[in-house]
Amino acid sequence: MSRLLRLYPRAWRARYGEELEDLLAARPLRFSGAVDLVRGALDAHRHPELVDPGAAPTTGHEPITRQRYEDLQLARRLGNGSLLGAALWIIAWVVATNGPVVGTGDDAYVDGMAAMPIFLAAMVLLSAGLCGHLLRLPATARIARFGAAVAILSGPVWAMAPWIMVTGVLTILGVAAVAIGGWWSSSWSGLAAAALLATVAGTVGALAVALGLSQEFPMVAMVLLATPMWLVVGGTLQGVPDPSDVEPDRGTDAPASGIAPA
Amino acid sequence: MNRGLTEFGRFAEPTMYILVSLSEAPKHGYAIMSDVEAITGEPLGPGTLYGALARLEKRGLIEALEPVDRRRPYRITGLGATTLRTQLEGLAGFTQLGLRRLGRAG
Repeated sequence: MSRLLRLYPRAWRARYGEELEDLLAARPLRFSGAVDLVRGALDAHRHPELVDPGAAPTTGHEPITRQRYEDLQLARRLGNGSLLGAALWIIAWVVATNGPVVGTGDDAYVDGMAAMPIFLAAMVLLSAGLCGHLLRLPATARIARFGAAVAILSGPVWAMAPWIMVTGVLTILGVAAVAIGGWWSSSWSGLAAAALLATVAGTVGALAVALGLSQEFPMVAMVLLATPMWLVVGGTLQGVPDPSDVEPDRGTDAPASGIAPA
Repeated sequence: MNRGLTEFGRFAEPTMYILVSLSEAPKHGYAIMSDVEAITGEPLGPGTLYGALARLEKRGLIEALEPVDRRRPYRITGLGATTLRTQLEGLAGFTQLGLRRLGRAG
């Protein structure tokens, strides 16, 4: 069972590993104890500052470079695009479900092709928001950054060719990775990550209904459940540090206050 | 500054049990776990125990002593004792209020 201790961060094992190994040797681990140990390892990853003073949690008022400040401003603008994408996503479904009926009898179907450009625009704007997260996420948030990069590429491709389902799956998995990886790296709050994962579930449900795999929920409900994906992606980019937190340029006399707030 | 144990979130309850256990005498992890189980009747998981110990140590409510045969005892600090006392007095007041109201209802 000491293998479970490998799930803990190195710094944590260096501090408490020997004690815990001794404890586990004295008291054999039951299933509930193993689950508790895994939860403890997750907690230790989320709170490295408990054993590593150098990993103190951020206060939100750390000094940032001018470049970082400008990146965050750009990320916020990209997030605004994602918020607009939420409206386009709904419009796309309205247009798709109100298209002309083609054919007769059992072969009749609603032609939703007119919605394709709107759907593409919505997906491009979702990608824009995810680009904002690529800018915003720290380099250490590798899972989240990788997920964002995958979804940025696959989302618009999926919108252009919805029949290539693998692109849709990649988009959904990419967004889910942003939520999970963002939470794991402490870049996202648990609430924001859970909200984004809920929208991923809504999107999967909407697809299931659209493909006729499930009739349990009306399409409109699933579409509305998926809509917050754009809102969460865009909304989580809105926080930008105060201009007073920007470090002055080194080697110049330019004051930090020269930067205009958004 | 005494900020209570509520800021520990899901670790609030285990940290209080640990402080109660250590208020008797310094103990190592296994002894704390056994004592808490004897007090509450519920086992304290190893992940929860060390998550709580790390938080208590970080806040200065307990301190680690020199290890004895790989087992490191922990001791409650003055701040830890004050915090525990405040917490228990708050609970005692709450308990009395609840019992008084129950008595009135009965």
